[in-house]
Amino acid sequence: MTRLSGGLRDLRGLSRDLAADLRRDALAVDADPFDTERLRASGTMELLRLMSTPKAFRTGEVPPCAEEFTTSCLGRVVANVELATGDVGVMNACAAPSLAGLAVEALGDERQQEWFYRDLADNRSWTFFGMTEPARGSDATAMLTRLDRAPGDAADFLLSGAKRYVANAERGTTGVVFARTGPTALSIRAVMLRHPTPGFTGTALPMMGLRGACIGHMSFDAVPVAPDMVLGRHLPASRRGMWGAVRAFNVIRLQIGAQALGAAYAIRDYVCEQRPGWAGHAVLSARLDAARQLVYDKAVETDHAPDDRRAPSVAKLHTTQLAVEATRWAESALGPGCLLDHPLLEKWCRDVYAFEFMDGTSNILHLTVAPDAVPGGARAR
Amino acid sequence: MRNAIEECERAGHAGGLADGLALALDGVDPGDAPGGVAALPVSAVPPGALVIRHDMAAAEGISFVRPGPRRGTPAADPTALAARIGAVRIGVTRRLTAQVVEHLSGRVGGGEPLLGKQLVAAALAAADVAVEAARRCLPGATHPAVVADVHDRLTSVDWELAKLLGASGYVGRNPASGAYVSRLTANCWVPRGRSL
Repeated sequence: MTRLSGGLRDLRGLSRDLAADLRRDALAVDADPFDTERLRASGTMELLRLMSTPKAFRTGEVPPCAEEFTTSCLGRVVANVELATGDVGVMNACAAPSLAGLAVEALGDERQQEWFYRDLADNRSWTFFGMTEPARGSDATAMLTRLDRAPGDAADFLLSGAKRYVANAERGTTGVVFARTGPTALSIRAVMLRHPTPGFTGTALPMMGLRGACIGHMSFDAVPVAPDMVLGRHLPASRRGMWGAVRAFNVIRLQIGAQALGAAYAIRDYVCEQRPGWAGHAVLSARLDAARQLVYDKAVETDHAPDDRRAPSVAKLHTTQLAVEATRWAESALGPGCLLDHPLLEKWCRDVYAFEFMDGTSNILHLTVAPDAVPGGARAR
Repeated sequence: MRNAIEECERAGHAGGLADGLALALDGVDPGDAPGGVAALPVSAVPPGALVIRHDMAAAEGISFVRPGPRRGTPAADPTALAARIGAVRIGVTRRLTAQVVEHLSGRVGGGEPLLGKQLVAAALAAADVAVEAARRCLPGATHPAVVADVHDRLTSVDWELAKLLGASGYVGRNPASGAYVSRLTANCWVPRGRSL
């Protein structure tokens, strides 16, 4: 059972304090997630951006306890659970490196990391990560987006295709897009892109919830990509593409699992505030505390085995479902009309559904976990 | 009662939530809503009523209003009304199922039609079974907890179906948003918890 160090307990306390600030903007961001001035003006959002940026690329100070946010999965998870008790919609509106940053860390050489993080520091950019395609869903190996050599003697590549369900598709100005150079899984490569670039369009899609994430559609019509924007060139052929994506997904799945759990805690706490002294939360509270332990344990496992897909899958599967169950419990606890009487609660009902679709649906994650559940099965490493 | 239940399911299935709700609420005073918020078809909102803005619901033809306290004795049997709305929701769930099947029928994963995947087929089968079972709980139901349980199970079934739409069920107007508004509608009209 994972026990938190003093530093991690401090990070947990700091994150709890920041959560209160996130809560203040919850309904406003849900109503207008593109109000960038509100987000830019938030000192808490700026601190979160700095906390989630690796130390070498930070342009401002963070409390010492915040170092673990980027240096271990456990630190990231500890912080995310607490921050999400504020509001997950606002959290996902943060201009942070996110998945794109993790992919650049896994696949980028020093100069590429410098380019990516310098751009984020200078412009406080929202980032995008283009993997999922229209009609292809989670089947990344079937992606159609292509990265081809430009005709003639030009050294550049051309990116052509489309991505869908990409966070910050419209407002993101720096990010990573995956494409294929040939027919095999090993031919999938990642490139860094700036937006705007000729031929590159990003369009937001109206979302049911978690609107701060600003998910949308991207299309690429022969977008020029310089060779030094192609990630993984310094790595062995087997580690230039999907390997980096899998590593990034492992961390983000833990983060999403932590956010789902934090949202469930927020729902529990909100109901308890409405019914002071009521003991009807005992079962849910016990499940939440056990889930927190589960997520911590799986984060530690991932810190020890960053390529193992099972641990993050278990965490995300469990807490995503638990958060949905928490909304139903709340509905039952507060009675008729409660979802219209309590707009935050109604918003969270919509928000927590999003976790199901982010970076691995439950069906896909079940298939990842399944080999371990079958005697003699092969582990999903 | 049986006939009214069947008619409500038919209306919900054929015309959607707003049509079904119009039939289920026929003759019901909005002030009878047990929590003080009534879900109504947009066309049935009384002039000057206090409407709670909800864009997803509006897109489905549903408004949430605060009608104010009712004067006099409630005319509607709240459990029977909740049962009729449960039947409407069953119709809406069946619509969602058909839309999910249509969505999946054009999708391929790992070179195989998604409808042929065991996890997907099992989820559709489970939804079918759940609808059959829920339908048989409603006629003659006299205990509010029985009807509330049906609604809870329908909310669960709708979510399991919505998951099969993937992220396409989370953006824009889509079949899953109708199911979500169906849940909100039930939240307004189903007596439970502290209202009993």
